[in-house]
Amino acid sequence: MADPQIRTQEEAEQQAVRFRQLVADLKREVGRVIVGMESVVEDTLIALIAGGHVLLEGVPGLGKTLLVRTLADALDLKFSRIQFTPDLMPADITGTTVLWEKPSGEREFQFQPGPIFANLLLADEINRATPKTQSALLEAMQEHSVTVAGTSHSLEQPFLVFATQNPIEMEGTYPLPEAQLDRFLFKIKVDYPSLDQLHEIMNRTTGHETPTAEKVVTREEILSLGLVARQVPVAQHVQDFALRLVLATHPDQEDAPDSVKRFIRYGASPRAAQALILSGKIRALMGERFNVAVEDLRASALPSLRHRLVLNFEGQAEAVDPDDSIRDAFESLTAKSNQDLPV
Amino acid sequence: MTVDAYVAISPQTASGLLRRGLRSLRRRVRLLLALRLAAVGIALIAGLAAPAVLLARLSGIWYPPLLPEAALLAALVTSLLLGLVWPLPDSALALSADRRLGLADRIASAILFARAGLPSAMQRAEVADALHHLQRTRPAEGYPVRAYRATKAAALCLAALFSFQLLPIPALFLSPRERDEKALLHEQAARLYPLAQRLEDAARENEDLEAERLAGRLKKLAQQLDRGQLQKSQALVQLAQLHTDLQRAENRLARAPRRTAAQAADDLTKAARDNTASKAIQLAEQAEKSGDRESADEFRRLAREARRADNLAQLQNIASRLSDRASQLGAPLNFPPELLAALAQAFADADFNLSEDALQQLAEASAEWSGQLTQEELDALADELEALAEMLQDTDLAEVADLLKKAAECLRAGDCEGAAKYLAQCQGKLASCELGAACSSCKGGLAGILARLRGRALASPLRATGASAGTCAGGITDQPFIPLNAEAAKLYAPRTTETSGPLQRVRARVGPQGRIMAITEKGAPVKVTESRVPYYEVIADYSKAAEEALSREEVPPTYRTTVRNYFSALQSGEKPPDRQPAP
Repeated sequence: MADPQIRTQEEAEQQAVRFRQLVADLKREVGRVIVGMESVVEDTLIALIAGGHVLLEGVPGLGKTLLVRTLADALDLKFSRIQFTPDLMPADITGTTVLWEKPSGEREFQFQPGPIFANLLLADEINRATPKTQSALLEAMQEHSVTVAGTSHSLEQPFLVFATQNPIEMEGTYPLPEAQLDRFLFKIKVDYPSLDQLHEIMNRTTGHETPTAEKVVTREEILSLGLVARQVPVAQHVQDFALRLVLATHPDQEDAPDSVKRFIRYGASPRAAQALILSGKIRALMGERFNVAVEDLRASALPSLRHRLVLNFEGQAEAVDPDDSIRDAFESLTAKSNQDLPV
Repeated sequence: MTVDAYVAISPQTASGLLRRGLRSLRRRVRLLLALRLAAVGIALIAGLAAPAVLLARLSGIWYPPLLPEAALLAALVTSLLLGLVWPLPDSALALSADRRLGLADRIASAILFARAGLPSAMQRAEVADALHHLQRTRPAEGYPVRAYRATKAAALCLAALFSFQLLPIPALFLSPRERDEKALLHEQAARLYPLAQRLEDAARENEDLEAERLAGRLKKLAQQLDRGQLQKSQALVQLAQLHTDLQRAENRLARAPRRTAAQAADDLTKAARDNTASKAIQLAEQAEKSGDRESADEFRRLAREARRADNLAQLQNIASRLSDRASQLGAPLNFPPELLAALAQAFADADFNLSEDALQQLAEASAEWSGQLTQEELDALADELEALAEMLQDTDLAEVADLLKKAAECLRAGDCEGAAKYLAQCQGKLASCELGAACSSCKGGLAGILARLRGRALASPLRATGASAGTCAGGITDQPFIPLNAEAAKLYAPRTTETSGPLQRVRARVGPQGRIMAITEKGAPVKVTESRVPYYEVIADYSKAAEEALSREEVPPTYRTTVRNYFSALQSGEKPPDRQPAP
């Protein structure tokens, strides 16, 4: 891979233009298959570039699997799908060793990689598997490697997990623990399409031809996009805002709004701040800027924070949506920090 | 992103470039800041001044007329200066500009990166991007001029202030005394306007700037009195000052103590009558000698009419008919008899137009004397001119008298052209005489107004219904009012005291606003009376002075009630309470 370090201003500008071009190509290609869901697609791309895992939540049939598959097609990445069920075993994910007879007649144990050995892994209904099975996946997510029979096997980069959850069938499921949820960069809510979008979906998917995505970005290019994005600078006041926002989700903090103090038990971790900053950098480049702005943080706040807040009893009883608390925290910080000139 | 125009950014130049880029924004912000601060300052000052002015006007408290405007101007200048020096750090300006112009923290980030020395290429690219956007921004889009709340408040407060200052106080808020005072001032304003106009016209004709300024002041005073913008005490002060200035102008325009216009008019009328009659008799004798009995009778009849003429107009008419008849008979009168009558009329009416015409005729005629008249006839003309000069010597036409004398000398020397020149110059002198007369007339009018204002010192319940009390000896004020309840007031009526010394004018100080002329008898009185100054002249001023002393706490608290009761009793016409010992 070429040296990712940008050394000159001209190079920075060229890399930024290339970044935008590649992202636009990806969006276009994905848009050929996926109807609507612009914000979902954008957040997914951001997570992809940032190298973070995504938790997709939505009712069945909204195109979550199709989205990930289409991404994989457009990126020429290895795609794998695991349907999580309660009887799924860890070995079903990571792989196992099997006794293998060589042509010479010797027998040895050989590692058979599981479906986790892919670039894009779709973990459908992750909350239906047992915690033991979940942990096998989650270990791989964290370590980017799998240990089987004492042997560690690295996963090829990029390795991204797109886990899905069905919000309407929570009975008999094993919700992911907060510590595990924290490993996901984003939690993206997939909404129901509008009438026009449904029309378009019907037109595309019930005809004699179904569109498919062509490869437009290589694996190396995706990795280099991530490296370029990490070099986008963040001004002190913007970073300060991001950190204050994360702190404002903690009920014991001064900046926390009333809704946080009332309904949140635990706030977001420093990983949330990393998610905000990293996604902010990618959004800045996508927005033709070389700096992270507060509006980038605003766009990334909900997907970065919503799965990291733990509701207290009252919040659960009131069925409070953490998104509201995040919005309150953002607005209260914005009001405090927007000390404009007296004109 | 700046792809089309690559601008290389270096750590050394970045800060300077950004500061330059922020210049237009900074100017715009300073301007808006100055405007806003000015609006706040004006709202504050006008908001404080308006009720203060209203209170002052209702209470009759004097304040310098332009003090609120001066304070407003000071507030405006201070606000503008504050706006210019208000601290505007680059970072604060950048944050504000980013927010208002939708630049997504470009400028603020660029400034921070520049300060950090631009360690990375991305930061340099960011600064270039920020500069590119700065160049394209229009400050007016992010910082429009808008009507702040302070601006609306300032406008309201200014409107209130100016209306309280300029509009007359409605009668509803005035006491009966104040209403009477206002009506009196309004009445005097109507008298003052024509005086001022006359003075102005005369000053313009004579091209006398000082007199024109005086006329302007008179007009302005009349206007202020008419609009109720002045209190009586203020009007008295200004009138007294104008009276003094008019006196000065009168002295400048006149030369020496002279006879009054009335006396000059009398003398000239008598001279015109005698001159016309004697000329008519001479012409009658000449006509008889030549056998023209009809003309002789007519001339004698004109002589009789001249002696019996009731008024100057009639006399002028007779003189004019005499001149015409003499011309018809081939014996024109070289010295027009109607000139004397015209001059008499001029002094009587203070209108020199007719005399100007007559003098012009004389000047024109004098140009033809040379070669037409004998030396004896020229000497006779010279005698007539000298006689006229004598009559005009101690009047406003003293300079005309000098010119007439010179013309007479020229005639005696046989120099008709020289005489014609001097006679032509007489017309120019009439203009200054007109001005002098106008000054005198103004001064007289002001004296009358002053007297009237001083005479009405009482509240309306005490207004007289009857005759005037007459003038006090040596006094310049009338006393037109006698209170109905006059028992105690009689105690304070002026009394003539026997003195052994001459009468003197005395300046009396009646209040902090200035001095008012008052004349009292002063000398060595045989016996002391209770008052030497008319009650009505001083009671209002003394009451006011007492109230002011009370409000300024110059009277010990234990005596305040006593003092107040004393003046209340005086004003109501009751006998004042007996002197009470202090508690």
